[in-house]
Amino acid sequence: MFLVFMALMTLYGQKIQLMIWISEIERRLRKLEKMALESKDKLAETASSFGREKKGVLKDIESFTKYFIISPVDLDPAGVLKRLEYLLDMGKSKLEEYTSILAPKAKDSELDNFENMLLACVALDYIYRVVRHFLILGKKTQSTLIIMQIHMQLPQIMEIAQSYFKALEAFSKGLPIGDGIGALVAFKLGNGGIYKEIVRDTIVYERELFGRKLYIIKAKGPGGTVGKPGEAVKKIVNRERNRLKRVIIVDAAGKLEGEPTGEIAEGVGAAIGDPGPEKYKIEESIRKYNIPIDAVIIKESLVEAITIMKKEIALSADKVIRKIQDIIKSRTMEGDRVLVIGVGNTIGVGQ
Amino acid sequence: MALDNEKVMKISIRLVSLSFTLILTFLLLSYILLFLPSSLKAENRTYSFQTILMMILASSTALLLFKQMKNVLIPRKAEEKILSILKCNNCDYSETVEFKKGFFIGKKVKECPKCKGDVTVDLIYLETPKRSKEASKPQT
Ligand SMILES: [Zn+2]
Repeated sequence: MFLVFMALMTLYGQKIQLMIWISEIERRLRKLEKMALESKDKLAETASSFGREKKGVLKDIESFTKYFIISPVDLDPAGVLKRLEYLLDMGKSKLEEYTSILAPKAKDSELDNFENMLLACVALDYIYRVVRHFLILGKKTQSTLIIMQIHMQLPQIMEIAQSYFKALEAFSKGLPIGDGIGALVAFKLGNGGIYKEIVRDTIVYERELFGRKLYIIKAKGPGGTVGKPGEAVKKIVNRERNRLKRVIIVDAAGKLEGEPTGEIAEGVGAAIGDPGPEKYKIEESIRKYNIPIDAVIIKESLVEAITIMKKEIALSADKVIRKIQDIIKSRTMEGDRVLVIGVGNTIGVGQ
Repeated sequence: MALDNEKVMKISIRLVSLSFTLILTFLLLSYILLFLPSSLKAENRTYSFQTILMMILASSTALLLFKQMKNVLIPRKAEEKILSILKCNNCDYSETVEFKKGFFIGKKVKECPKCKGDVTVDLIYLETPKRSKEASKPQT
């Protein structure tokens, strides 16, 4: 009996291992499928509260979740950022078209939140399809390599999927998310003062602080949008030129495992996690007039960035403001003009 | 929500302890069954080696089973609360309430009971109990 067992293990051990892996992947794939379906259901439910009938809406959602953007060719890098920005704008307007079909009666900020929900659904659907692809491919070819790879990456994939799923709640209720800490800091620094919409979905506050004139940029809330901070910076810098003495940029940034959530760090550079165009505009504008830039980041994980804002992150806002005040006091003089940029999704944060 | 969670917690704790005792008795039984013949035929050395191997196998199976049980039965989600801090813009009045739909940071909610100024939402955040380190782990 024992010898039979040993023989079986040595001869078929790998096959058995493969079977165990496959069954585990299948179990998690079912979970992913459930999440993708439930997210679509939630979206349909929200759509029905904005004047769509639930029947037809699921069919529309099904086709909209296959949404994609093809990144521009970078073999010829000249002007690639302009082309990328153009494509991103097109993508955005396509999404807006979808959301207006799905939620015809939604108001501005609700429409933004709905768009975020749709994007989370797109992400969940995509994750499900990719995992399924590798599972079927691995089964078909009986390749240990493919199965092992997907099995080993699954914990992280599941975590990302889970956070997108959780993000749906935040988006549907209009709750602030971890990524919105930059916007929250800008809001608190703006202190309910006067503001105007300088670019679409982006506002700028003007106020005095310690005898300096402050411009504070943030996305226009409380709908879920990141606005166009780069474009806004470009406009202000081109107007103010050398009168602007300092730029301070605040954003949430990925933390390393082991670092505490809500920790603040200071550095140099355009702290903004966009695909490229906005970052480029900020760097190019400040370089043109040699304006020094300070970056203040708040550390959080990817999961924390797209789910409801945690207490540690929310409470770090006041610390960041104190840091900004220190920077303004110690590195600028009275009468100077200073630009502060609060980067991030402003969902749940007004002005 | 909170009530449901408590119920689930209680049931699962009972189930886990039940399964734990079951696994323990199963282990004990298998040890006794394995040791009985080997002590009767103590001169058979290869047999005792096999017994030890079987014991290791049995215990590791039990451990694996228990781990799986724990994964399935202990709910990871501790009670999380979404709270909003309301603050008056004029005086030091502030209160913490549960989040209501339609709230956003900067929204004027009501009149201050102290000075009749505007009370606005100052912060909205997720409060997670400290003890739930498990809760931050992904459910797989
Ligand atoms: Zn008051």
